[in-house]
Amino acid sequence: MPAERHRHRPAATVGTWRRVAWAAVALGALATLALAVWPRPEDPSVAARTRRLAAELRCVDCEGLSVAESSTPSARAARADIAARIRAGQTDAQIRRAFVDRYGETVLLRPPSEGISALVWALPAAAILAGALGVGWVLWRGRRETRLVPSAEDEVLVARLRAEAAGAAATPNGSGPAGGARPAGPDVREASPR
Amino acid sequence: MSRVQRPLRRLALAVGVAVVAFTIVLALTVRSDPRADANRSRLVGRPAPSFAMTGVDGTPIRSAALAGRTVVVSFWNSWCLPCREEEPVLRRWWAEHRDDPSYALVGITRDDTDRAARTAVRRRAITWPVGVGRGARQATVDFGTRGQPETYVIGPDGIVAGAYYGPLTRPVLDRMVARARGVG
Repeated sequence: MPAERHRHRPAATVGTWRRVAWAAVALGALATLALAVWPRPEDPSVAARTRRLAAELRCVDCEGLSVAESSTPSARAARADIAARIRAGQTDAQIRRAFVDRYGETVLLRPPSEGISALVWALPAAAILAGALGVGWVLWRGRRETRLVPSAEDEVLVARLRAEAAGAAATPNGSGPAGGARPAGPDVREASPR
Repeated sequence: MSRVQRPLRRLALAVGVAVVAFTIVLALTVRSDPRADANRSRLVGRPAPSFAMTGVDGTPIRSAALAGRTVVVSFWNSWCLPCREEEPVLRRWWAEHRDDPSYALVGITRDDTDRAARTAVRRRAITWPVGVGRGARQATVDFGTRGQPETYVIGPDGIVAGAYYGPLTRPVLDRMVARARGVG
């Protein structure tokens, strides 16, 4: 019927739209990640820089707090030290290095993204990417493996059965393929290669 | 092996290699003890930070004035029980060395009010110089202190010869002082 024909789109069109949808989802995810990690313009004031740097440093005599969050005298002294270094013209990297020189790498709440420590950041990202590629590849292979492609023999067989069904429907006592006897020959579903 | 199983095996192999690589990186980064970095001073073997502060009696305490001496720097607080525990060690050591100008002992309050520190010094009859105020708080950062008590020994050459976290014992103090003077 025409209405049914309108509801069922050709397989190629469905496949294209599905690919477009997946591409849109992937682009959306990438855009979200890019927005999350994109460097924002920084407030250049001493107070804002002090707050930002203090938030990156561990309060050494607190449990799980940054220097920015703690109110202990040592955290206050650390904040004053950061502010003094900013006023003295030191860069963020120099200030971080000064604290690492005194306390070691453990004073940084975020592992450094250079040298061998960079692998701590890079490896999980690489693993996620490899996993996503692997899953995508397996899905793609699975779809390709299970797709049924009729052979020339199948086409001939289907044409013959259709012709027989049409012939049976034309006879006066026939009730069509559904009501009639099952035609001789192999099952079409079994004949299709998997 | 089917055509689907082979890539799965390759994928599993790749994931396994990534996990092993990640483990090696973590092991190299943290070495044997993740807390090891937090339990040793980075200052040992390096020039001591300079300090300048006011003593509880109002006299200035400056590292520049102590140059050429063996200086024991003790970070403490009036409310700190382990600090009370080590106080007899410092008291005895100071009694033995206070008349020798090549030695000095400086107490620095780490996390205390100036008033509480003054009261503690008076009541406990502490006779070595004790620094308070902003200069003392700056010194706690410059020395990279993590708690109290903490003791640093600076040699006559201005190099930090030893650092100790926790209540000091006499053998530990003697060992650090001997190292600072080049006899340990």
